[in-house]
Amino acid sequence: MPRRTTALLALTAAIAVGCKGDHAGPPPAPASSASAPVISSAAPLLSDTAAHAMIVDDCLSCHTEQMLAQQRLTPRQWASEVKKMQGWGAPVEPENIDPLAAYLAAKYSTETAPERVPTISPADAAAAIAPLPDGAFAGGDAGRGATAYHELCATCHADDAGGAAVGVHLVDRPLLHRAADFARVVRSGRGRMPAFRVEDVPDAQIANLLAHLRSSR
Amino acid sequence: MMRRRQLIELGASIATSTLVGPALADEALLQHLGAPQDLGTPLEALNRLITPTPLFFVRSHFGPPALDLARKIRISGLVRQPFEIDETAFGHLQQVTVTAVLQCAGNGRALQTPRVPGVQWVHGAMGQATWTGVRLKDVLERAGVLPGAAHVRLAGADLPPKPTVPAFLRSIPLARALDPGTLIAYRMNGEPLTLAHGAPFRLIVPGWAGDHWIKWLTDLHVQKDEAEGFYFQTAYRLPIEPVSPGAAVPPEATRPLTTLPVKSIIAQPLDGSRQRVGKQEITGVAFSGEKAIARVEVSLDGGASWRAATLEGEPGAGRWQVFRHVFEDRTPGPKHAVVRAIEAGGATQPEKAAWNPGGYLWNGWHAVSWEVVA
Repeated sequence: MPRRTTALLALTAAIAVGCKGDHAGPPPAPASSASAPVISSAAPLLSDTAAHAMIVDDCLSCHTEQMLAQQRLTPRQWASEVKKMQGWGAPVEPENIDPLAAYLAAKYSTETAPERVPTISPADAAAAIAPLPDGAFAGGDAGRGATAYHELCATCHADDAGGAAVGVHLVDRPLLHRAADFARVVRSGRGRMPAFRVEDVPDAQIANLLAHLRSSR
Repeated sequence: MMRRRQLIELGASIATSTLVGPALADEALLQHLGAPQDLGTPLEALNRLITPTPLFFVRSHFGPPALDLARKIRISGLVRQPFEIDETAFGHLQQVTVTAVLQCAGNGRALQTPRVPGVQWVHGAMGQATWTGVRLKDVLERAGVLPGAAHVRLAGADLPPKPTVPAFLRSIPLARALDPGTLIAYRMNGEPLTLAHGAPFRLIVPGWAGDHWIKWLTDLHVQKDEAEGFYFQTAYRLPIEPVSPGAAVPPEATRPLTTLPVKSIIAQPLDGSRQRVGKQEITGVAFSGEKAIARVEVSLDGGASWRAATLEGEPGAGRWQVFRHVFEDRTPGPKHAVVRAIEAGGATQPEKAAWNPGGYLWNGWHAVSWEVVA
C-alpha cells in the first residue's frame, strides 16, 4: 500500500456517520468535452476512478465529497481552491494539483446542472453528533491507552493528538464520545488510514485509546 | 426608527408553541454538507416568526467540539481582572432574552452570478429565534476594560482539523461588544442550546451576520486591534467600493462585513408549485440588520405595480416580520410574484444584489412562479 502508513488515522464523528449526503448527492454530471475546459492540454483528464481515489485520500478526512460536488466553478477557481486546500494541509501530491483541478473543473463546471440538495431529518442530523453510551468500549485505562496511542496513532495524528500532515486532530471531538463509531473507523480505515484488525485493536484497546484521548484535552 | 435597546425584552415575548405552525414530522433540513454539518432550513418553513430549533439552520466550519456543558469562557487581554466564567456565575448577572434573526453571511451564495466557491446556500441559512443569556457588556464590566482596548477577539472550542488550517478567529469592535443587545446566550427558543447551535454558549450579535455569533464560545480576548488570521483578514469581507461581477478584489480593497442588509424572501407559494383557484396567499419574512422594516411590497406583474403586504410580529432592527399578501385568483394559468422590503428611512431591497467574491449577503428580489389550477 504505497503512501499508506501503519498509523491510526481516526476521523471525526461527523465524517464517520455523516455519509448520507454522499449517496443522495447530485447525479453525476456528464464530462462533456464541449463544456469541459482543461487547464493544461498536455495532461489527459484523470479517470473517474483515479480522481475518486485521490479525493478519498486527500480531501475526505476533513469534509465529505459533497463539499466538492456542490461547487460550480471555472478552471481558474478550481485551481485556486485546490491550491488553497493544499496550503491548508490537504496531502495532495504536488504533481496531482493540476490534474485534480482539471478533473474537478470538468466535472463540476459552471455549465454543470445545479446540485440536487439532499435532505436529512432533524432527528438524524442531531443524532449524528450526539454522544452515545460506551457499551463494549467502557472502562478503558488511560495509561495503557497512551502507550497504544503512541505505538499506533501518533505517527499520523501527532504526539498530542492535535493532528499533523496526514492525520486530523483527535482532541475534544464528538467521535470520542461515540465509541462504536470510533471503533468502526479504526477497523475499517478511511482515506489514507488503513484498517486495523480486531485482533490488533480489540475492544479493550479501543476503550483504552478512548480513555487516553478523552483525557488529552 | 427602532432603537436597538427596544430589541431587548425580559422573558420570551412570544409563546413559541403557538407560532411553530404545522407538525414538524415531515419537515426536513437541506443537507448542504453532511460532515462537518451545513444544514439549511427548508424554504417553506421561513414563514414563521420563530424558526423551530430542529429546523434551524446549522453552519459549521470544522464541526462541533465534544458536548461539554461545563465548558467555561475565559476573559483576558486588556482587562483589570481576567477571569473564567460559566453558567453558575451568570446567576449574578441580569438574564436577558432577545428575538433576533441569525443569518449566515453566505446565505444566497448559490444565487451569485458568476458563481463563487463556498457552501452553496440558497435561502436556508437563516432563522429567527429567541436567545436568552447575559449581556456581554455586563461580563466585560466585571472584568474591567482597560484604556486602549478597541476590539474583542472571539474564539470557540471547535478546532480546525489540522494545525495547518487557520483557526476560526473573529473579533467585534468594543462598541458592538458593549451594545446591550449583544449577549452570551445559553438558551434558544426557551430551551438549552443544542450542540449544533453552540452549547453551552454562543455569542448573539443582533443585526450582524452569523460569522460574529461564535458558537461553543470559550475565549473573549480584549485587545487593541481586530483579529488576525484568514477568517478575519481574508474571509467575511466585502469590497469597499462596488466591483464588477467576477472581478478580483485585493484584500486592501475590502472591509469586514457586519450588518445584514434589507431582505425579504417568499416562503409560499413554492416556485413551480400548483395552487387551487381562489384564495392565493404569498407569505415570507423580511428583515434588516440596520433598521426596522417599514413595509413589504408584492408585485404580480413583474414589478410594474406594487401592493403593500400585511406585516406580523414586532418591528425592530435585526429581527424579522412575517409578511402576507392574500388575493383571489379565479383564472387558471401561470402566476408570478416578486417581493421587496423597504426599511425605515427608505432603503429598499435592491432588485439585484451586489456581487462580491465571497458571495456574501445576497439580498436581491425573490421571485416565484406557480400554476393556478381549476
